[in-house]
Amino acid sequence: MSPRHCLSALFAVAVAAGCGPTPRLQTAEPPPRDLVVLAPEPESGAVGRLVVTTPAGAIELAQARESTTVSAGGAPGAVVVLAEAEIQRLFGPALAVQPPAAVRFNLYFQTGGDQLTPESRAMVADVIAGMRGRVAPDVTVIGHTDTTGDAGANTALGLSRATLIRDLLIQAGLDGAVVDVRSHGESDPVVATPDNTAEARNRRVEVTIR
Amino acid sequence: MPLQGMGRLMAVLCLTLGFGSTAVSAQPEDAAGRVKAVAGSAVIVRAGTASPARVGALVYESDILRTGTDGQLAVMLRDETRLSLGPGSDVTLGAFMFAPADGRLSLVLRIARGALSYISGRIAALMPDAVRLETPTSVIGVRGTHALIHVEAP
Repeated sequence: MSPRHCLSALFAVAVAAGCGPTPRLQTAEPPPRDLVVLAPEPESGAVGRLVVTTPAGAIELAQARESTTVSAGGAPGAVVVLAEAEIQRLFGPALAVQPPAAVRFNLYFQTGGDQLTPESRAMVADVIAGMRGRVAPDVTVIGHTDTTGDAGANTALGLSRATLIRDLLIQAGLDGAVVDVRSHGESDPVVATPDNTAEARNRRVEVTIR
Repeated sequence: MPLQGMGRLMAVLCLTLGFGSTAVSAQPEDAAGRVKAVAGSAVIVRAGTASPARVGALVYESDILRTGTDGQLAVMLRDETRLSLGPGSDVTLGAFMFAPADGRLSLVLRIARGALSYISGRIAALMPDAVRLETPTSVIGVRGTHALIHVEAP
């Protein structure tokens, strides 16, 4: 046995006997370690704020690509700006399937009935374009009125306006089964008015495609 | 039976009878959202039972979204919140309530592992404190934003 092997053997015996350095506990998995990144919103580019809190402390992320790493039991680590390549490495597959943002349209009506204003009639094409290319879309169509006339009649009018828009979308090829049609009548105005007030901005159908 | 239970029972009956198995229908009030994209292996775990996540499938409060090592999954919640998961991810929809007329708003997501992209919807816009993203180590509060969260965990 070479002197080196001899030493190794001695060391092994010492460790086995509980002398020498304490062997570190081997865990099968690393402890939880989290990374939180603040990203710009994909459509608007707007950057909000994130507050990351643990029992040991808190940190705020307020600029695009700022990140913090947190290990179990610790406070959030100092803010680090991540390179775009690192964001892609960690989040590329998640970002690749991100759904497009919901879109909303307001279509306006002439007073007292379900005739669209000329401008809004032209806008129906935009609504239809907003549906195209969406996978498994959900469409909500909500009819609204101004406060002219009876509240009950306005609920019915809101519904007939919403139904008209739904039918236009179905004619354009939308599956009617995915459309949720409802009326808020005069109860949800954009512009608050006294009762029995004609207000063009409140005579509308709101279409949301998500 | 609570209303929510009724809704799910109806959903189960419809599936059993063969309705709605391919057709996408308007979201019932108790649904939290809908699957918008799937690649590779991805499942929705509901009451302990995993079923393959398919585009158009509904997602409910308490569901767990889980992707395999080759999986990607995207969901749009009813309040327009967008979630997308990379491979090897596990995200629980801990709470979802979107009843703005009654002021009842809540969104809790628990990311146990993997990669999540979260983009705020109307709950965060109306009541930022109603949104909580939880990881094994931290709680993340949002102020109208896009968050990316990566969790390394067993």
